[in-house]
Amino acid sequence: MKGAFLVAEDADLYRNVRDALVRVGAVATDDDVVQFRDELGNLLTVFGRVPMSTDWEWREGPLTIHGTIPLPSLERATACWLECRSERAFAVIVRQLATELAGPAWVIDGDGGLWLASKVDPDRLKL
Amino acid sequence: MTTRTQQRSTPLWLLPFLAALIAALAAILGFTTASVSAAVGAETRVGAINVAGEVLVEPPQHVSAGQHPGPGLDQRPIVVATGVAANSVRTFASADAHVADAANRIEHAMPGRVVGVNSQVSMANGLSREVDIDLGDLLVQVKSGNARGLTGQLMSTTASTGRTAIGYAPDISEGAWLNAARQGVPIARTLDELLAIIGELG
Repeated sequence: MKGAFLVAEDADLYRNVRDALVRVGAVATDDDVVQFRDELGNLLTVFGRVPMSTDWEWREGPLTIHGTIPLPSLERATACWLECRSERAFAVIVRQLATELAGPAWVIDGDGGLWLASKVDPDRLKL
Repeated sequence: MTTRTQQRSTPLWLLPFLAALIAALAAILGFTTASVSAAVGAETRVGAINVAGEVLVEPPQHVSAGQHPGPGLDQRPIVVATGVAANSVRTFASADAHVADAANRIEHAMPGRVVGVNSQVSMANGLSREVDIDLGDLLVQVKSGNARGLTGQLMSTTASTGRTAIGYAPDISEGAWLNAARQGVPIARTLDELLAIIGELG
């Protein structure tokens, strides 16, 4: 299933993502899952609990950097796992989400591509 | 000017032939209508299409991990049914990379095993989760590229749905595959491996 990590140097990343999505109609659950469905029916599901034993999937390289962007400190960062079947819907929602967060956030896609969340390109993103 | 009158008469030998032809067409139309189904909903680009008349000649093979079904599994002969009752092999389509290939290989090896493609399954928290291939008791999550995130996704899928999740990632890196294996997360890199894991896990 297509998906990517959203990472930020923000200990409350999931809570901030959840709150931003709930404000636009998403449903959140007690086990740190928030789900948003856009007007076309595309589903974006955010999982706030990334298993600690799989941290290597987003903390370790190699990463392909897309664009000239500030790089995150992955040692200090936290991550959420996002699932969405549509690259276009993912990009639209995540770019909007990036404007709601206090600091910068990045996407690490399914092929190890690193993107600034506000500049995700749906045509090159690999979920 | 002469007028010619033509009398048309149907040869008697043609009548039984026409009756048989009409009966055959009616049977074909009825079978097609009954057998074609398509998934609808948010994933309209995805559907399962019953291919009327295709039957698997051989019975499904059962393989276990470590066994290799052999290179000829996907070249099993498919014949057009000629009135013999048999299982029909469905053909699945998906816009997502590798998903249709995997589903169709499973379907050919284990007819009827695939419950759905690009499905949504219930999670314990009351929400639904998208999965690539639903095998009922097992779920298959497919990932293209180097499959970053697949190991955690499989652990999360199993935990949230209560069903064992298997990965299929033909291009996963050796390191990621080994890391997943060390954590007991099953990820197949080939369709033969996928069939073996499914056979092993039931």
